[in-house]
Amino acid sequence: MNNIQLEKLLATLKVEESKAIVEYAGVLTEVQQKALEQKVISRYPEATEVTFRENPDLIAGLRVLYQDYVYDDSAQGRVEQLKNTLETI
Amino acid sequence: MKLEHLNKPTTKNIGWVKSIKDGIVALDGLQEAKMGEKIVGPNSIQALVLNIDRTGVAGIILGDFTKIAEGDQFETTGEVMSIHASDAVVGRVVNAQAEPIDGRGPLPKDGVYMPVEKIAPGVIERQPVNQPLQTGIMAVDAMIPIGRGQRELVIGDRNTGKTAFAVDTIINQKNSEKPVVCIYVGIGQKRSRIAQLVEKLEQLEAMEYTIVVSATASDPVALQYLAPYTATAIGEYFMEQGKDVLIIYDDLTKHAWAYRQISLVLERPPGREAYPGDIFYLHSRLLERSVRLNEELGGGSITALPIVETQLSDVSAYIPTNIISITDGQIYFETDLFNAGFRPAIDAGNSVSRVGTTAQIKPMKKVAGQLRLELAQFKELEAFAQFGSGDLDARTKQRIERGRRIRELLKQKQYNPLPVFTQVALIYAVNNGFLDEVSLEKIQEVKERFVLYLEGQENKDNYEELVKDYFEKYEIT
Repeated sequence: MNNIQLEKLLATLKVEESKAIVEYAGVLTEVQQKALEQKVISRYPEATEVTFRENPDLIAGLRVLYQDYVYDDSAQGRVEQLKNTLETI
Repeated sequence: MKLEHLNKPTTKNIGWVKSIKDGIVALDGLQEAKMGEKIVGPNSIQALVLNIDRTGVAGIILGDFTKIAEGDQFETTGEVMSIHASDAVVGRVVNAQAEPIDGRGPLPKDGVYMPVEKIAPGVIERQPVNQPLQTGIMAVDAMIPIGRGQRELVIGDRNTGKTAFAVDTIINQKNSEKPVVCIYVGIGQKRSRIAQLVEKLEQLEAMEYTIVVSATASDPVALQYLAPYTATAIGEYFMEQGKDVLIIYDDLTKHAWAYRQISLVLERPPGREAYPGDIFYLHSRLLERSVRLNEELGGGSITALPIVETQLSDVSAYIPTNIISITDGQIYFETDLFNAGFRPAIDAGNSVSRVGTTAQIKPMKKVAGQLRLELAQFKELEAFAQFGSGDLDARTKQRIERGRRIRELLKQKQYNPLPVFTQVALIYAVNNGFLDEVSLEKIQEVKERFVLYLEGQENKDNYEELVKDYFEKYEIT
């Protein structure tokens, strides 16, 4: 790989790194999407783009993924937490 | 069961496994991970963060690392590594994560979580060490006394009786006036050895107050690294209740090897003998947690008996000198003494207790001073003993003969610790010449008879009268 190709690859990776992904289950209207986009960018200012992706495995609610941060407000996440709590008993 | 936390969304910081080597995992991501933090991966496998640098995070897997693959996700917990400690752990054999491995079922979860790493109590929270911890071994209780809250190193070559001494100390706590909870940590030992030790302790009814923490040679190095800290955390649980605890670390040499292996895989710069630069801190922070707390905090204590194995009696090697400088004294086991049949093979001349007679009861203090002096004088004159008796003056001959009898008296069989007043009576007997006319070959026989006689006496405080009575009435010279 020559220097120009390497720079292009690094630029692509940097763009990927600065993308935030919102996964949701159910329906998300355009108004809700816009509001969420603003909220995510205010929370993670370095995020340049917010993409939305449907994920039925979440059952309900949403999950935000940005770099190595995960904000989980989904039903599946709550079930996971309950399972972990019960395992400690 | 509290479930309020399920009402709130969670914010996690995650990472992905880049590589895994010998139980040490390197991860991408985990920007919020802190040093010493517990992270959790697939199948609830835990890891401990030990390295944070610009390339990522690295840690040790505390579990079956064969179940971890590249790309697996780990997440931060925001917690330091901790173990569950409760009263029910007494009498059990546990691993380095305080999980039972003796096949007697799970431990109840009614205790508390104790952090494995903790800053040692400061000077204000402590009180001086002045209560004895009787080991039952005459050579130690008389000349190298150990106090509750002291750190006394047990050092010597392999197979010189170091572990046997530690086990006898545990057994002797059975009759202690103020009960002592004993914790034996086996680091890098053979599983068969741990099994034999547990069996022996059960046979002698010592497991009722003992906990065994085991990280054998076949366990991952991560667990061998963690085991002493787990044992100390369990000890602190009991100490904070006002109890006295004895912890035996067997042995810290293997602990240092485990940490060296972890550090080299983590690509930390190697120093002397390939140990990492913080090898001293590995043991100093462990042993500083052995304290005697002041009365406001309950007055509990942790007494540490770390064991270090030397190679060819080299006490000036790296790890031995490190630990000698940390501890409050050392008990030196010599191979030559062991091979010559003097067991326990304790070299009183090279051993020291920096706490000293402050940790002795008054009767023992009274008789032990003369014993030490007699033995030291005998050692100086021992070289002359090889000359014919005709060449020496009467006083020198008497000193040599007395010294031989003292050395013979200090021999003790394994699993046979002596109560302190029996020891005082025996030392009084030899100091005052009651054994001078007994032949060397008969010393052990006379000692056994005298010990049996003392066991039948109700009032042992009056040891001077008891000795005079016994030797005048029963022993024919």
